[in-house]
Amino acid sequence: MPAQPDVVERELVIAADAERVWHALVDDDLLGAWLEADARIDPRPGGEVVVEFPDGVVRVGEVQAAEHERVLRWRWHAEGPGLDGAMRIATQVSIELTREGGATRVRVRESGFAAAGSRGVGFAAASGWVWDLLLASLALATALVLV
Amino acid sequence: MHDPDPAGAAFDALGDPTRRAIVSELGRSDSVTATQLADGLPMSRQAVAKHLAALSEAGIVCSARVGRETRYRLEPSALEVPQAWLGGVARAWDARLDRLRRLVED
Repeated sequence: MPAQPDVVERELVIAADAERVWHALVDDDLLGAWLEADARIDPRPGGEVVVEFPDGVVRVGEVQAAEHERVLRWRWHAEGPGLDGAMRIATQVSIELTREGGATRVRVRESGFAAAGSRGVGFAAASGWVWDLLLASLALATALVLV
Repeated sequence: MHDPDPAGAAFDALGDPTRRAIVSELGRSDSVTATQLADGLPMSRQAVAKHLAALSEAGIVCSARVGRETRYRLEPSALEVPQAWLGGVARAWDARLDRLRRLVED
């Protein structure tokens, strides 16, 4: 179970070295290939990240950390027509690489659903909290534990 | 009131920490009265009743009259929205990570 209620955390071990995985995070074409979007990233703190998804949603953000072959972190939010309040929440995406022999563990954390923002403040605050509630007491979420 | 963004309404109502405390209390029991809730919380029955009204409006809490009492309970479907939404975020990352794996593995 997540230590924090408002974090979505997923991980996967990939049979490739960290150099190769890192390249797929910071190269526009490769990043776009696995995000299935048109992606641009300037992989340094303060650099821009823009990801245009085929459904018209554009996620725009700023790189917060880029430690070569270790950590890439950005904060993004969605722009585009017809988005509900939930999608407009700015969240932080952290991708951490850990070497495991010749393989690489890739851990993605998307967090900030409970952070205060403009529209979607309530949503954001509640979704993390409700998630906590679900896990803690209601037993409604037994089929959906995210980690 | 009909909000075009029902998820947003529910979440806005839950943005208030006092309301979250109330919902947490409701999560511990089947159904309770405003008086019973106020006993377990550092606030008056009137304050609890006001928050319950806001939560009812947002569809998070429902009430039923039992004899002379109004009993409140959680509306389970209200919690499905954030659950489904976060589940969607998780599934999106699963799919992306799988594509990343296929992209970089030989």
